[in-house]
Amino acid sequence: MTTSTPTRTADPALGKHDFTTPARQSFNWGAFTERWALVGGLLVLVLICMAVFPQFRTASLFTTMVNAQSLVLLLGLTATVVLRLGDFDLSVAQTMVATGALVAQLTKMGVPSGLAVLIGLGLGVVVGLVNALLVVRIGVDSFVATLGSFTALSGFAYLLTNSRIISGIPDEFVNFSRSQLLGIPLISWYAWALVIVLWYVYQRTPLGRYSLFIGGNRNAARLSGVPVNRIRTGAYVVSGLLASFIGVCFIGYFGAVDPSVGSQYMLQPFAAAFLGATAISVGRFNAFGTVAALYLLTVGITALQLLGAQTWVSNVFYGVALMVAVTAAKLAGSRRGGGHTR
Amino acid sequence: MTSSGTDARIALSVRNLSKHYGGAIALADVSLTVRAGEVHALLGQNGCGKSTLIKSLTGVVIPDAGEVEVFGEALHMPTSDPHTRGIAVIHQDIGLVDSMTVLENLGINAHYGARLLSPVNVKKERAIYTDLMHRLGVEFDLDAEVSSLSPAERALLAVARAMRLMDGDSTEQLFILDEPTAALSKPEAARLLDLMRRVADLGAGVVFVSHRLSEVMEVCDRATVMRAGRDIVEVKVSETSRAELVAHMLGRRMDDFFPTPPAFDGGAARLVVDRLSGERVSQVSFRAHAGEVVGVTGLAGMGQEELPFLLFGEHKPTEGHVEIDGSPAGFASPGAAIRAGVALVPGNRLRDGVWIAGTAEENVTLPVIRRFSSWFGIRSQAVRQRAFELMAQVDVSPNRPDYAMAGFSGGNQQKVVFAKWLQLHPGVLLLDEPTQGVDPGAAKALLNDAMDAAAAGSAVVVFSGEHELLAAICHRVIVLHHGQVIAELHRDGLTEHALLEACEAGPSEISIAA
Repeated sequence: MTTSTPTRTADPALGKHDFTTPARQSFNWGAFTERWALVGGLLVLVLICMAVFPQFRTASLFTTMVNAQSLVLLLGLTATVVLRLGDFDLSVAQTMVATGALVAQLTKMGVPSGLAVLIGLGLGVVVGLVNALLVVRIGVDSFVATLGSFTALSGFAYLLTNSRIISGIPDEFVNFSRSQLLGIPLISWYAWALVIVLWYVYQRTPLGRYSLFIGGNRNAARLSGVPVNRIRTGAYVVSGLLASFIGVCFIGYFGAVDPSVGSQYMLQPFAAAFLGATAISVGRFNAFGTVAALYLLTVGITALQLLGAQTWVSNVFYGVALMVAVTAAKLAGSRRGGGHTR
Repeated sequence: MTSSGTDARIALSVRNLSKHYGGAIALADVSLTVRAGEVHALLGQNGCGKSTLIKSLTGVVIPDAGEVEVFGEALHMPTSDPHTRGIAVIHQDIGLVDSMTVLENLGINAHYGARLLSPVNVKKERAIYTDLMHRLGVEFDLDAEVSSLSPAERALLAVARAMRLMDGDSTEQLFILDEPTAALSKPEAARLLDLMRRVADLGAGVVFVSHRLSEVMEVCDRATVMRAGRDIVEVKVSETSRAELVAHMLGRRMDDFFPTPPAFDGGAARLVVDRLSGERVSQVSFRAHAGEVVGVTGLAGMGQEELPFLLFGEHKPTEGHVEIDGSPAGFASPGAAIRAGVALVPGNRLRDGVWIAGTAEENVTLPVIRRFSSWFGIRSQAVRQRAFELMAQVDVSPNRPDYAMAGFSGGNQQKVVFAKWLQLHPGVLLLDEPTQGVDPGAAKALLNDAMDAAAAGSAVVVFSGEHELLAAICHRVIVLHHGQVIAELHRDGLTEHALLEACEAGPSEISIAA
C-alpha cells in the first residue's frame, strides 16, 4: 500500500498535456497480495490436506464437497445481490425453505409440478416486494426488517408442512437437482452458472457499478441520476426470486422438506459473502470471491472432520470465519485510507 | 479572567515533528509555536500536512519523531487523553447528535458530571452551562433539540462544550479550531470569530485553521504557513498581506483569488424559476441566461441550501414551476434533471458528492458509464482513458484514476466532482458552495472551469455564503431571506460589502442569541 499513497505535488505541470497515455501502473505487491490471499490460502490448504489425508487424493471427496456446498453457494451468491447495495436480506434462507414447503405441499395436493414451481417463484417475488416495501419505501432498517420476514417465513413453513417433514417429492424435482452432467449434479452447475451471471453483472455492466455506488454513497448515486430506489427494489425482488428458485432445487436435492432446516442456512451464506468480499475485488461483494471463500471454508471443515472433530465444528468455524472476515475488511478499509482499492 | 502575565507564556510548542506514510512524507521537521493569549492561524493548501499535525496532537496519528510541549510540559506521544492536558479540538464536523437536546449534547464529553451509573444532577449541569454561556456571551435554550439550531449555533455549542472540560480556574487551555467557519455565512462566522478572540483574551492559546484568509487577517495575531509537509514561515499577521500569505501557501504568487466572469450581454433564458416554494423556500422567482453567472446567497438557513435540491428534483416543490430552455421542468428525480441538461455540484461533498471508497475513475465516469457498455460489458480500457482525460482537463494531481477518492486531498476530490459534471456540458450548472474547504489555488482553478462553462453557453448558478467569491464571479446575485428573494444586485453595484448589507437587511429577529 505504501508505494501507492498519493502525495500532493506542488508542480502544476504534472499530469497536464499528457492526454494520450494513461499513467503506467507500477506493479503493486500489497494490492496483489490482498487480492489473492484468500485464493492462495485455499490452494495451500488443499495441498496440505492432500499431503496429510489420503482421502483428499480421491476425486470423489472433491465432488462430494462441491455438491454438498452447492446450496450454500447459491444462497451466498444471492446474499451478495442485496449486500452490494449496502442493505441486508436475511430472509433468503427461510424463503428457500418456505418455497420448498409450498411447492412440495402443492404437488402433494395434485397441482402439476410446473404450476407449483410458478407459484413457488411467485412467493419469492412477494417476499422480495414486501422486504422492498419496508426497507426502500418506508425506510425501515434492512437488518431488522428482513430478520422479521425471516422469522415470519419460518412460521409459514411450519404451517404449510403441519410441522412435519414432507417426503415423497416427485421425481422431476429430484432429477432437476441431482441428474448428473459430466459426473456432477445439476445443482452445482446452477451455482456455477449463477457465479458467471453475477460476475458479468457486477464487473462488466453499468448496473454493477451503480450497485456499488448505491452501497458506497446512496446520496451521491441518486444525485448522479442513478435510479437508486428502483434498483434497490429490483435487488430485493431478484433476491427473493433467486431464493425461491433455490427452494425448488432444495426439495429436489434432499427429496424431502424439513421445515426446521432454515436456520441452519442462515449464517453460512453470509460468512461466505463477507469473507468473499476480502478477496479478488477487495472491499466489494463479488461472485468469485464468494466462491473461493466458501470452498476455503468447506475444505477447512472437511479437514477438521477428518481429524475427528464433531459436527458442531462447522458452526464454530463459520461463525469465526464471519468475524474474521468483517474484521479483516474493517482493518483493510482503514489502512486503505490513502491507498487504492483494486 | 485576566490575561495578565501570560504574554510571554508558550501555550503550544511543537518541535521537529515528522511523520512518514511509507515513502510519502506527511510532516517533515515541522515546528509551531503558539503563545498564550493569541489566535494563531495555521495555513496551507489541502494536503499540506495541517490535518496530520493536528491529529498528532490529539493522538489520532502517531508521529515518527519530534517533541511537543503544552504550557511548558512535555506531551508524550501518542497522547491518550488530550483534553486532560487542556487541548480541545473543534472540527468542521462538529459531532453533535441532532435528536438530543442542547444540554444532553453539552454534557457528553464531561460524563455529565457523574459516574457511569450514578444519577445526573440536571440542575447542577444546567447551572454550569448557564454560567459558561454567560461568560462566553452566548445564550441557548438548553432544552432545544440540536436539530433546530443553525450551523453557527452548532459551532458555538461545540466551543462551549469544549470549554467545560477546561475548567474556569485554569487558563492553561489550547483550542484548535479546524475550519469551524467553513459552513457559516459571514455574519455567523463573525460571531464565532468574536468568541474565539474572547477565549484567547481570557488567556488561552487558539489555533485557527481556515481557508478564508479574510478571517485570518481580521482576527489572528500570527500565522504559520505550511507547504508540502513543512512549516514555511511564521509571520505576524499585522505585518503581512493576504497576497503574501497565499504566495507562501502556493510557493508562487497569485494575483487574483477569483476569476472574472465572461462578458455577458444578454442571452436566451435557460433557467426560469417562477414562484417556487418548498422546504425553507417560498415564492422564489428568478432567471438565469445562457452565458450568465448568477449567485444566490443569504444567511445560513435562509433557503439557499435547499433551493438547489428543489431545482434538481431531489426535493419536491410544494408550488410554483421551473422551466429549462423553455420546456417545463418539474423534475421527479435527479435523473430527470440530468437528462434535461441540469447538473448539480453538491455543497456537502462527502455526504452527497462522492463515493469516498470508490476509485476516482468510478466516481468521475458514473453519469456516462452507460455509454461505455457493449455486449461484452463495459469497455474498461476506454473508461480508464476517459477518466484520465477528464482528470487531466481539471488538473487533478496525481492523475491516477485507479486511486480511491479517499487518497486525494479535498481540492482534488472537488476537481473530480467538477469533471464528472462538466463532461455532460450542462445547460444549467448549479454549484452549491463550490469551493468549501478548498485551498485558494484549487478554488481558482475550479471557478475558472465554471467560468469556461458559462462562456460556452451554460447558465451557471452559484449558491454560496461567501460574499467575496460571489461579488467577484457573478453577473448578478439574488439574496434570500426566510426563503424569499429580498434583493437582487447587479454587476455594477456588486461588492462584498453590499452583499453583506443586503443579507442583514432583513428583519433582525433572525439574528441568533446576541
